[in-house]
Amino acid sequence: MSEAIENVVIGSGISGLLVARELVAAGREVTVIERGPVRLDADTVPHSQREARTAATAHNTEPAPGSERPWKYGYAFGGSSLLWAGVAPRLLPSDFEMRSRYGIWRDWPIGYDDLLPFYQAAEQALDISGGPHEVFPGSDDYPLPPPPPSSVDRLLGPLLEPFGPLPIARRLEPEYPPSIETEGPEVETASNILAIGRELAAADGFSVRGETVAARLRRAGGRIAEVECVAADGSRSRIVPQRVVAAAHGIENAGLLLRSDLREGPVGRWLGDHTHVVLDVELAESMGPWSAATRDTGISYAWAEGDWRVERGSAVVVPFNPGLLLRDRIVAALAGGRRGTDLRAEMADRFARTAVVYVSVEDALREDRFVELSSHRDPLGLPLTKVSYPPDSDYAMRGVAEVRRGLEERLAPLGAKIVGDRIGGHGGHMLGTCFMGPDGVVDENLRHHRLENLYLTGGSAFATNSALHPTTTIAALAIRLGRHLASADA
Amino acid sequence: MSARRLEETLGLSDPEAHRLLVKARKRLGRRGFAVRGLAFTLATGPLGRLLPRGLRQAAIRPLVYALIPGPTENLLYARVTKLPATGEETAGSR
Repeated sequence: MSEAIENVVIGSGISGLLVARELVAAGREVTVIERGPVRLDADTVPHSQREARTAATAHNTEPAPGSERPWKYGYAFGGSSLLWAGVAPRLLPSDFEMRSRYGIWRDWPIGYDDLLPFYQAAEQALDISGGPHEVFPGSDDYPLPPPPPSSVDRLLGPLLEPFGPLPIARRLEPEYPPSIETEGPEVETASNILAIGRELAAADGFSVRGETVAARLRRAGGRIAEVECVAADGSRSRIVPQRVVAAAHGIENAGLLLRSDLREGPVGRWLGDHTHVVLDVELAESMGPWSAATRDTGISYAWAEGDWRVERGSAVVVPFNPGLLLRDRIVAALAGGRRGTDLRAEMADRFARTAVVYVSVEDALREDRFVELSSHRDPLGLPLTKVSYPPDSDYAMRGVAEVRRGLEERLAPLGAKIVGDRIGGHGGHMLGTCFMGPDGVVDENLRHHRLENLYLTGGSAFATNSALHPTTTIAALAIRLGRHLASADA
Repeated sequence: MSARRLEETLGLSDPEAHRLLVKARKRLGRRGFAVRGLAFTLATGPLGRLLPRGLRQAAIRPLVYALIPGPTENLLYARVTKLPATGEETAGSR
């Protein structure tokens, strides 16, 4: 049995909800298909309870040999956005023009200036706290002011120029020093997404099908004629859409097209993510009285931009406000025989003299990073997506090496020495498998090159990687698409 | 695992040790806490010296991780923050 629906949006993360919001505001009907459960109050429960365990939410990827990377995504109303840390910078203007500026990778078919009004709309929609910065034209209209800089921002920032406030979701209350009575003053950025979801749920023209997988898209000529769905209980249904917007993440969107045998263009190719490294920088003296907001508040663009991007990755550096986590050092010191007040004094001194910085580095576009279908199947009988992602490239590692060298040089007045490094969190951003551009999968309006009623948005549409976190750009692309579709309807 | 033992080993004050123990017990449950506490006590006591260093660390780590699970307790141990005075315990926990 088939049901006719005007706009089918696949995925209820930031992309899906923002596209839906624009369409609903224009009086259109939208049905969102979401693998996970629909909990409008998910921001009030722990992260571990936000995804129900059903056949629909069994994670459906497997790594190719040598590609074990912990991809992080969630199946729930709100999507992977429920796991979002809230870091919300824009991309650099040059990120859109890598071919014309540096002769590498490719240009996006749209530029920073084209996206600027949608960046501003996204920052309003997501309730972003930020401040103007010379690196980003038109960044003087954030809905919320930036939080006060932390003590480590104030110490390092002047030596790491250009340095400025890190845009982040929601106002950050300066809750440190925190009360020991709380489990940690968490800023719940999922609320920003679910607020949009709750608003939509109450709106005319909007509906959502939870615990339902968009299994395949069926084509007829140059259109998607049918969306084949499977519910968590195994029941199947068919939708006849006027229009389909695939708004899931980069692995999922590519998996849907591959399952549907819609292989025109580089579907699944050029999967991207960042490289993250955490550096412990020991200083000659104590950093002084410590104060900070609950999340990181500053960002340095000292290694973000330059002709050297031909050979090494752009990088941004974020001082880590919570500071040095001491427990591994305590364990080592106890095992070494140190005890009591001497041990604690040593740890307090280490904390006071160690700045921790988080480095996010642009990675290369690589042909050997891609998504394909596996011969294995998920509990619903659909093929798993197999992800090839060989480890970080020389291009990114040269970027990291330059930050290491430059940090010690710039922070020399503080007697800085890097005494520790470790890999930061990987796999939170799945970019570029259905990129936009004339040689990509979708055009500048995110419409599929061969299928007139199929659109793909989200990180999969990114034409290049960046050092900067993609969420605000994902949101801006979604709003731009939603308005485009609404106006096309009009 | 007593608060007194924790005070002596980690250089905590009595209220600090008590507070961290209560939170760790709650997080781990009675049995989980007892097992980790025993391993910690043995590894940091006189017999612990007989253990290879790697094994000693493995025995110590679970309790230390439970006592200092994140930034809040870390800041307390680093002497950046202090326990609130009696009657002010919920101040700041917005």
